[in-house]
Amino acid sequence: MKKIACLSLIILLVINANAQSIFGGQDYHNVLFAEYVKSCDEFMCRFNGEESFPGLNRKDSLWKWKNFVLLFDYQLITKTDSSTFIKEVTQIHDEVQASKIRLAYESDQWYAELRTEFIFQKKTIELGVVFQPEITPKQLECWTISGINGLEKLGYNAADTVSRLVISPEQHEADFTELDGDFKYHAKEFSRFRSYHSDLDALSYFFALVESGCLKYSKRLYVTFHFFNIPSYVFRVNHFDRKMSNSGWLISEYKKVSEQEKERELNKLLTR
Amino acid sequence: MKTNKLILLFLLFITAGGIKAQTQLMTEEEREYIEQNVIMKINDFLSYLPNIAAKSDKSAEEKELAYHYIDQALELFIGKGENYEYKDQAGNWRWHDAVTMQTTSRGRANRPQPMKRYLRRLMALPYQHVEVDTCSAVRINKRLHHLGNGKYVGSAYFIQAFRATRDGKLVVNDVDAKQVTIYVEKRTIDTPNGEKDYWLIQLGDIKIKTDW
Repeated sequence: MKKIACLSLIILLVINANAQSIFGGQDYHNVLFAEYVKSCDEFMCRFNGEESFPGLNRKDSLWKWKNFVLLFDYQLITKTDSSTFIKEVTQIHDEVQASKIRLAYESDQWYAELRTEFIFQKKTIELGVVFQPEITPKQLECWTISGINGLEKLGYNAADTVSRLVISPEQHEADFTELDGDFKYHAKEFSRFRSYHSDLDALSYFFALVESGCLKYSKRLYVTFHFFNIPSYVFRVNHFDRKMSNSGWLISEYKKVSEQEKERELNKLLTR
Repeated sequence: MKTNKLILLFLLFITAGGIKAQTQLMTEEEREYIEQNVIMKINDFLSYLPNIAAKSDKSAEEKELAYHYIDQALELFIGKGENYEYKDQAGNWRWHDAVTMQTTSRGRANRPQPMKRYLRRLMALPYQHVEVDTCSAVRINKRLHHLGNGKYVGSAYFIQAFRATRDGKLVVNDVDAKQVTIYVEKRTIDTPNGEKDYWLIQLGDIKIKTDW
């Protein structure tokens, strides 16, 4: 009951967009700025309880829970009913507390995906470039590219382990002359000539297209952070640019998953 | 309405968390010093803008002064408005384009433009009077990433309010939250009293995060 009342307060907070009439000018923007989750760093600090949504009282028994709920995009409430939302978020919160989950930059269980526009054969293609924090041999932090999403739009099909184009068994006697025609008629699906035992590698495919100039970078679209830190859950964080308390880097999606499903989600993200 | 007022007043009591050093390479005092200086650099930058922008019919003397402020502003940035070379964390020397500035106009984020070009264009804008508020709110990320050789990189966030008048009317009233990359380097200089460490703090690209 107490949590439902708190949720009502939260909804009131997040929909309270037109505070300008009350405060006007700089104070209003300072309030918005303080509430706005400005960076991934601030998101992690609030998630870990090291920082708090402005105005929450740390002596309140529900402080941690309230601080946690305010990290969710309020629109998630509209996708289900409020009691289901409270129940689910409370379960995630309890799991975070029980497993003592702390988000940190150096964790190897989170990824950044930059949705990016490229030009391929004069067409605009959107791909997701997946980054992961790593440590260089000099023991310094950096981001590296660890996955690429959406390559199937360019004909990449790693999932197809059966469909192959093969070369006649006597072609070794004919200096593989058949290949002249294969290059002519099957150039767009040439990877199907690979061995039944060879897998395609999305990253190599992507890098080859970029380095050969076939895939040209156009522009960045937006970033999604994928977190796999909580046992039995995956969640995503996006930036919400809006004139209200519930803005900035917020949880846009969460999913309860088995460990196998989590592995599948990760493999899908990294296209492996 | 009364409830709304109370809630928003309640929200004004912002709890400020303590700052933790995440690496043993930098002390708490050094970190605090750096944070104060980052705020100072941002405020310096913002304070140059009205002097550069106002007014449209500048005399030769005023133009000269505006150019002086442009030079002063560029001094705050890594590369000082030019392309610059840097060593990445894997040890490769690479080139970085000149730092950029992103602005909003009538609620829309513009394409980032090189800082030098931005400041020169600012000088030519047809406004009589320009006001830019100094930082009333700043957040500096807790984590400064070590780049090696006493160098660090991080991010700071601030509100920029830009107001301009023409013919006595307010024609621009843009408020946005911006992110600026910060570069910090520990350097040692020789002084008559021996070697002394100091922190060189430079600003990088400035990007719109949200527009109000």
